[in-house]
Order: sequence, then structure tokens, then C-alpha cells
Amino acid sequence: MNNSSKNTRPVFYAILLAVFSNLALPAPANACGPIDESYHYFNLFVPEWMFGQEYSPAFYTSNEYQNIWSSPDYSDDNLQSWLSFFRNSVGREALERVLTGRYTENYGERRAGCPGPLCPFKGSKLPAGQVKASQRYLLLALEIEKLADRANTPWSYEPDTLGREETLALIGRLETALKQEKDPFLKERYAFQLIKSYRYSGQPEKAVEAFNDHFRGSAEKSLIYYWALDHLAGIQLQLGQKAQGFYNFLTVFSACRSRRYSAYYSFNIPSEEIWEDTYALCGAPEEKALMHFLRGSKEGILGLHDAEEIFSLVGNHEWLRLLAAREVNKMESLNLSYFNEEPIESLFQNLEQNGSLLQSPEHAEYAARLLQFASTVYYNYRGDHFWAATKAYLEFLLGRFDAARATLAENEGMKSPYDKVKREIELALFIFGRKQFSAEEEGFIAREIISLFDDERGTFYTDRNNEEFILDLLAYKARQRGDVLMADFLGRNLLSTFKVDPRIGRVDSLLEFIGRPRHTGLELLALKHYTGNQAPWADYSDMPDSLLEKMKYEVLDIKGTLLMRSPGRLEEALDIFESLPAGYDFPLEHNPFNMRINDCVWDCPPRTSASFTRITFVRKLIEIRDIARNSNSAVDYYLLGNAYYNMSYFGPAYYLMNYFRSGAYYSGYWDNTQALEYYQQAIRYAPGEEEAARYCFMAAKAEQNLFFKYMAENRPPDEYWWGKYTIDEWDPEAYARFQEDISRLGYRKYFGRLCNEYKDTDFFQRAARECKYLEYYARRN
Amino acid sequence: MNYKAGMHTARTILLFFFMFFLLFSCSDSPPRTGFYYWKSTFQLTKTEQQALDTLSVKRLYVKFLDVDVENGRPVPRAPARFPEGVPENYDIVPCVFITNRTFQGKQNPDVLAEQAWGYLQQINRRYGLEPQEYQFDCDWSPSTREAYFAFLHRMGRLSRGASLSATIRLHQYRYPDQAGVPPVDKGTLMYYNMGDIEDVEEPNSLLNNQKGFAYLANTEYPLPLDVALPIFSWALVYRLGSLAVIINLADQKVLDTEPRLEKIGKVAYQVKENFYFEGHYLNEGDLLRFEQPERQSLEKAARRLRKIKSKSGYILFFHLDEQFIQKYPPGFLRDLAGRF
Repeated sequence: MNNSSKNTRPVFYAILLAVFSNLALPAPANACGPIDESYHYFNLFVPEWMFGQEYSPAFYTSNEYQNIWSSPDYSDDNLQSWLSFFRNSVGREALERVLTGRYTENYGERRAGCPGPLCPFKGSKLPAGQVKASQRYLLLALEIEKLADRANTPWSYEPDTLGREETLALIGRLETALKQEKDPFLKERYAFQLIKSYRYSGQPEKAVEAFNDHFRGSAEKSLIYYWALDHLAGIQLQLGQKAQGFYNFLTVFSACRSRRYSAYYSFNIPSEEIWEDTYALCGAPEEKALMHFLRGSKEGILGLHDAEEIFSLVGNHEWLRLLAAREVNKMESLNLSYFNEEPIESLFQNLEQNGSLLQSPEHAEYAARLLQFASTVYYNYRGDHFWAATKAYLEFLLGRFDAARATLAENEGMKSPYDKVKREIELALFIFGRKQFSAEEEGFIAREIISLFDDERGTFYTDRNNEEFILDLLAYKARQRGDVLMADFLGRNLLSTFKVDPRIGRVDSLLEFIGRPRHTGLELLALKHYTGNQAPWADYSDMPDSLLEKMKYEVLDIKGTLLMRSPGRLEEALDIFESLPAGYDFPLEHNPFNMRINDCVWDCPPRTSASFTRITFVRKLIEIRDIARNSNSAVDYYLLGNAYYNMSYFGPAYYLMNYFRSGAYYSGYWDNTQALEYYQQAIRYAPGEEEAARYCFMAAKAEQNLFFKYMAENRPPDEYWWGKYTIDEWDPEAYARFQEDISRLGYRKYFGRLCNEYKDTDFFQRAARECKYLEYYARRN
Repeated sequence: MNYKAGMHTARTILLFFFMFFLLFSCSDSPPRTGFYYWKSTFQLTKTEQQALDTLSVKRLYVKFLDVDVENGRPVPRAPARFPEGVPENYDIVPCVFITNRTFQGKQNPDVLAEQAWGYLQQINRRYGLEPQEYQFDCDWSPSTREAYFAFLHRMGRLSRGASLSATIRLHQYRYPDQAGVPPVDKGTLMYYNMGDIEDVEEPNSLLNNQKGFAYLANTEYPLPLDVALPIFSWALVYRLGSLAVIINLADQKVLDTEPRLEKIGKVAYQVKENFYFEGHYLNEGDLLRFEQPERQSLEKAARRLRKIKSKSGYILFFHLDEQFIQKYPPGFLRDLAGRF
């Protein structure tokens, strides 16, 4: 039986959010995180830079098959053909909907006020006969789609197709329509539909016959000819005529880009014999070269041998360059890939230990063979800079830096697009070769990065990752020098991520860095990268002061927010907030002094109107803190407890203390210790039992949140969250286990006090009705 | 009757009784043997049918579908088709293979169970089946355990009247406390795939008693267990140091006689030049390793597995395929099953 795939990181925190962020009512999860990390590899040899999209099925990709397959298949070619037939006098969008199968029965009536396939013709001045004949064809073609063996939903075993009798009746109508149709454009399409229908209904011989009758010997090969040939090729494979089938797929790939994906994925020759037979059918060397191209570019295959064959057959053909680029991309993917980690350190280790950037002797050996071949072509085609770039890049990967520099020096005048590859390699070589850089050199590096990656904002969010590769190299160098701050700026530790869980020490370091009197170009660029500043680079590099000031404000805001965590430093926080531009203050949506029996984080209806802004709220907080301290006022301690509870991860005013609230794990300020301390003081000085019951209940909530904190910090690495602590029909015992755990670890003291000391209060009765945790606890204790 | 003649008579009687006992015991309680059928299109060849007849097989574990994730959602894959219908003389146990990653996403296991159950019922209706058992195969991990078990729990409710079984990997058998015990009626201990298939240096990832026995330290498991043994072989192809292709291959001789392969070890080969082999295009430098369960290893495994006290009595072979059956004739398999 099958092997399982590898584990991904556990998601234990998700339940902690989903279940416990509210005591009784689940809240919608915030699905957005600061960074969506996905699979990447550094790709300095960008195929899209060098080749057109028409050969994209052969590009190297780490994507899964279905992702490639879902790419558009040049359906526009068919649309254009139809538009020409209609002399461009029909609705393009409506026609496209019909042709691509996105037409639905009632779509036209509902959306455009016209019945189905007539929509494209609404308002056109085409002859009525042409409209009627076209509509007849389109309707029949839509019916024939039902013959395709496709299930209507993923979880449907039976295909959504027609029964035998219905199928034969439909084909009969199609045969009649084909006979009756006079227009050659429509007649050809009917013939195509007939071949398709015979194929889908299990009549391959009749399909071949139909192809021979209607297409074989056509002087002019239309788009539909190749579409029919594509079907014929598939039928021939089915009938055992393998070589002929593969040869026809080869023809389709070569001549019909709108069926290129289909032909590419169907060209899977399984044996030497069939390869030879297919090869024998090829007349021109170019056809043979195409066979090598298709085989060499198949997933998992090493394409060098086929590249050599292409070279011997047709010389420096585009397919040869495509295949060579694919092999280089493969080396990049295998050796410069990362998933949620930075591989640069291992690159340097490889370089020191093996003399190459490649991870294994197998990779190094294959790259060396590739280089040998690339060098041969390079010396034969000195004018084609593709090979200079390929040779230099392989030399770079193999750690032969001097050879790479020499190759690049020999090709000073490289033209676009290879000049970009050249400069990328040069920059990488420059960085590899130095331990540290002068201010001038850092300025040069910054300018080169901006210019090379054509990113005038210098924000480095592209899907190519080339910038990240260069920045990672620089980050590694900075780390080696002990410059932790620059290493972070240049690496992936962005300010937006830091704000999720900020630390005061780093905030002060940032402020110190920003406040330096002078910055090199690279420092400015790194800071811009780190803070995600979107200002154009030119403004930034020419007049950095105003932008640096903006960054300072942003970091000061973080500092003020962090200081609020300590009630004793509220004055410092207030000073900072008051020093910031007015835009940094904001009105509060909720009154943080209010309590709720059941937590509510999002879309909570305000219980009392709140007229605070952040600044006025902090002033009020200081005032209440001082009153509580000076007069041991229970109600003021209680209000302070509420404020610290509500500003934490668990409360609706979380945005006062957090820049981000994860939907999958606890984030930011989620420690209720301070809130609990205030509630304890409130209980201590409570004037009566009703008040004490209320304060005790809130203390229990804070205590429970501290239990979640404990669990999150001490959970086993792989513990799974599903259903844990929820009352559920498939695991009713889980909730009981949770209650046992929380009591055993000593986080149910205040529920205990509530039940023992305040059971007779009105508040207790109300809370027990509304809070399921308390009701459960009270019932069992 | 002299002493000698008496002794002869006594020996004859004893031999008769011994033979009778053997005959009786063989015919009355033959080893309960089953096979997995893991291909999507169910069509028994003559050889396969003969093997089933000879071994008096009554139960077939047929893979009805795989479940995997596509675009973040679980989907059925490779559904079983029975172009010649379902043979009536076997108990068909539908098997569902579920990739571990299916449970790594935030799929609701209840919903998935209902989807899978609905799909199984469509197949049952299509072919007029009323299975008495369903088997689920998932190499669950700590992070997917609860979701998978919740899935099984829900499946148990949906399949009232039929029993549920689940495959148990060796590490799950060895460490039931850590791995958990699935909420099913019984398990099938998979005594194969015990090495690291990705490792080019691994001697035999398919059956390695030295590794396997280490997992059999405990002789009891909280569920009654069937035991599954491998009777397949393959050639693993490593390219640039990583596993690239798995080729189902019954006979090592094919490798030995292939001139474009250089034998570099007892079961290891290196590709000398690019060529097609068993439907795959191999590349110069590829390393091949042939893996098969040796008969002695299977016998040794059977002897050791016999000590498991939680056995439910069935020995299952993975999997029914003509090319492998020919390598392990029914006599051998019967003998092997008899060791349990």
C-alpha cells in the first residue's frame, strides 16, 4: 500500500483560537496572516524572460500536473476563428462563454435577457440563415459535451453521461446535420464533433473512418483539422497503432498551439521499439529533434542526452535552448529550493566542503556534464548569448567562479534578455567574493538591485525570487560579520512579521538604526525592504530624511503599544502617542472597561457608547490606575482588569495592544496575568457578595486563558487539536478531559470559589445560565 | 502376530491416524487466506483465479478508491471498475486508501466520512454489493491521528451492520499508546514497507526482518489483527540521489540480462546509457535496486508473526497479481498461511 506524505507543522493553536477565544459563542476566524509562505526555488534563469509562452508546457516547474493543466489552452484561437466566420459582428464575450463551455441553460435569460446560445447573435447583422445554422451547431455541440466521461461532482462515481440509446440517437442527429450542412466552416466542425462522438461512445474504428472521410488529404490544414488529428492520435493509441498515434501527437504539438498541452502530455512513448517506429515516420530532422525535445522535457527525465541529439540533428534550435534552460532550472530547483527556511547557509557550506554550490556529488556530476555540453554549443555559436549565460551560470553553480567571471567578461555586450542573467550572476559573484563592503560598494549593490530587478519601489515581492536570492546572500554576509540587524533587514524577517510579537529590545535597536546620521545605499534599501515602505526608491534615496522620520513614527508606535503592557509605564506610552502625528491616534470601537460573560472579539455590539480615542483612553487608564492604588477601590481594580482583559488577544479591544490577530494561533499580547492581578485586587476589596461574584467570574475567565497559555507553551510538538476540548457528538469525552486537565493543573480555582462562596448570588445564577463552562463545572462539583 | 509384525501393524495404524489427522485438519480447517486486489480495474486472469481456488480464498480486499487532496479539498481518485462484474463467490471488502495529507488540512472528518461513505454506496449500488466489512488504509501521524480517528468513528456510525477495519503500520503496532488505536472492529498489521524507500542505501525497504522484528516486541495489540504479508517485488530507480521511479517487476533476471545495466551489487544496478525499461525511460547514471520478499524471509516472518496473540486468524497477501503469483505458487502460500 501507499506510503504517506510527510507531515506538516501541527495546527494545535487553531482550536485554542476557535474554541476559547469565546467562552460560548464561536467567532469567525481571521484567516489572514502576515506572510503566506509557499514552495519556492531561486530561479535566476527565468524561462519567461527568454522564451515565449507558446512552449510553456515544456517549461520546468515544480507545480503539480493539474496546476499546469489548468493553464489556458489558447482557446482564443478557436474564438478568433469563429469571430472571423461571423465577420466580427457577434458578441465576443457571449460567444466565448458558449465555446468554452461556461454557458449554462439559463445564463442568457438571467444575465443578458436573451435565450442561451442566441446571445452571441443578439443585435448582429448576420444573415438569418447563418445565425440559424450556427445556433443549430452550437446547441448540438453543447449536447455532445455530455458524452465526455466526466463526473458531475468530485464525489460522484457514475459519470454524468448519456445512456447507450440516447448516445446513438444523438450521433444519428449529428450525422444528419453533417450531411445537411452546406457551409464548409460548420461542416468541418460537425465532422470534428462526429469523430469526438464516435470516440466517446466507444466506436474508435468509426472515428478513424470519419477522419479519413472528412479530413484525410485536406490541402489546407485548419485549426479544426489539428483538433481532429489530436483525437485521431488518441484513438490510434487506443487501437494499438502506437507509432502513428505518437507521430500525430508530434504533428499536433508542432503545428497547433491550442492543442499543445494535450499533445505534450499524451506523448509518452513507453518502449524502444515504439520510439524507433515513431522515429522512422519522421521525415525531416526537425521532426526527429522534436521527438527528442518532447522526451527530454518530460517530468523527471534528465534531458542532456536528448539535447545532444537535437544539437546533432538541427544545431542551435530553439528547442535545444528550451531544453537546456529546463535542465538549468531543474538544477536550481533541486539545489536552491527552500520551504519555510533559508538555504543560503547550506550553499556556503557546500561551497566550503565540496567546492560547489550543489548539494550532492550526483548533482555536481550532472551539472558538469551539462556545462561540458553548453560549452560545446557556446564555442560553436558565440553570437548566441543564451549559451554564454548558460555556461557562466553553470560555472557559478559548480563553484568555478573565476571561469564564470571569464565567460561573462568575454561577453561584455550581452543583449536583452541575457544581460539580466549576466548581471544577476555578476552581482552574486561580487557578493560571494567579499566579506564586507565599503559604503560605495553598498551603494552600487543597492542601485544594481533596483535596476536589475526592475523594481522601482524596491519592495521585492515578486514571484521570481531572484531579489530574495541576492538579499539572502547579503543577509548571510551580514550575519557572518555579526551585524544581526542588517541580517534581519535583508533576510525575510519583515517588520510586519515582527509586529505580530514585538520585543522592546529590538524596537530600541531599530530606533537607534533609523536615527543614525548617515546611511549607505544598501542600509536604506534594507530598511525599506524590512519596513515594506512603498515609496518610490528615487524619492527615498535622494531625500531619505522624511521617509526615515515616517519609519521612526511607525516604530515609536510599536514602542508605545508595548509599554502599555506595563501599567507602571503608561505615562511613557502616553508621551509617545502624544508625540506622534495626529493620524496615529484613532477612535475606539468598544469601551474596554466593559465586561461580557461570553467573550466576543469581532462584530460585538457595543454595550455602552465609547467616545475614547487611544490617547484619551490611556489618560483614563492612568487616572483609574491611580485611584485604585490610592483608595483600594474594588470597582476601579475591576475596570482595570476589564481593560487589560479586553485589550488582550481574547477581547474586542485587542487592536489596542496587537497589530495582528491570528486566526490559527495565539498571537501578540495574550497573557492575562495582569488582568487576573487586577481582578484579585477587586475581589479583595469587593464591598459585597454580588460584586465579588462578578469579579471572581472574570478572574476565572482570565485564569482559564492562562491555562490555554500554559497548554500552548507546553504542548507536545505534534499534538493535534482537532476536537480537543469541544463538546462533540463524535468525541463527547474530550470535553470532560479538558475539564479534568484544567482542574488538575490548578487553573480552576476561581470557578471553585464561585461555587463555594458565591453560589447564592444573582450573578452566579445568571453566569451559570449563560456560560457553559461554569454550568458544566457547577453541575459536576 | 510376532513382535515385528505387531510393531509394523502398530506403526501402520499410527501412520494411518497421523495421516487421517493431517488430512482431517487440512480439509476441515484450512488456513483462512485473503488477498488484496489493488488495481483499479478488477479483472481476474486465469492464473489468479486458479490461485484463489487452490487456496480456497473466500475474501478479497479490493481497493475501491483513493482519497487525496486537490486544490485543498479531498477528492476520490482511481475508483474501482468491474468491467466483467463482481464475482459472486467472494466476500468483497471495499478498501479505501487515504493519504495522510488529506487529514493535514482542516478538513472536517465528519463531512469527509459522509462523502466517502456516499461514494462507496454508489459503487455498491452499481454492482449490487452488500459488503460486511470496510477497510481503511491511512498512515496516520500524530498530527492527523485525531482527525483520522474521528473520520473512522463517523464511518462506524454510517456503516451500521458492517464491520470496520483499518491497516496498522509496524510503528503503530509497536507504540499503540503514542500512535493511538483506531476506533474500528479490527486491524490488519502490514508486515511490509518497513524501510526508508527514499534512501538509496537502504538494503530492502520492502521486507527486512531485522527491522521488522524490532517492531514486534509486544505480542498484543488492543484490536484483533489480521496479518498482511507482501508477495510483490519492484525495482526502485534513484536519479540524482533521489527516488525517481518505482517499477513493478517480478523477476530479477530481467535486470541481470539487460546489457545496458551494470550490476554493482547483489540487487543493485547502474544504468550505462539512456534506454527504455518496462515502460520507463531510464537515464545514464540512474541506480536501481531490486527488492523482493525472499521465501525464507517470508517463512521467518510468518513464524515470528505467529506469536502475536491478538491475531484474528486471517492471513492476507498483498497483492493479487498474476506476475507475482507465479513466483509464489499456491503450495508455498498455503504452507505460509499454515504457519499462522
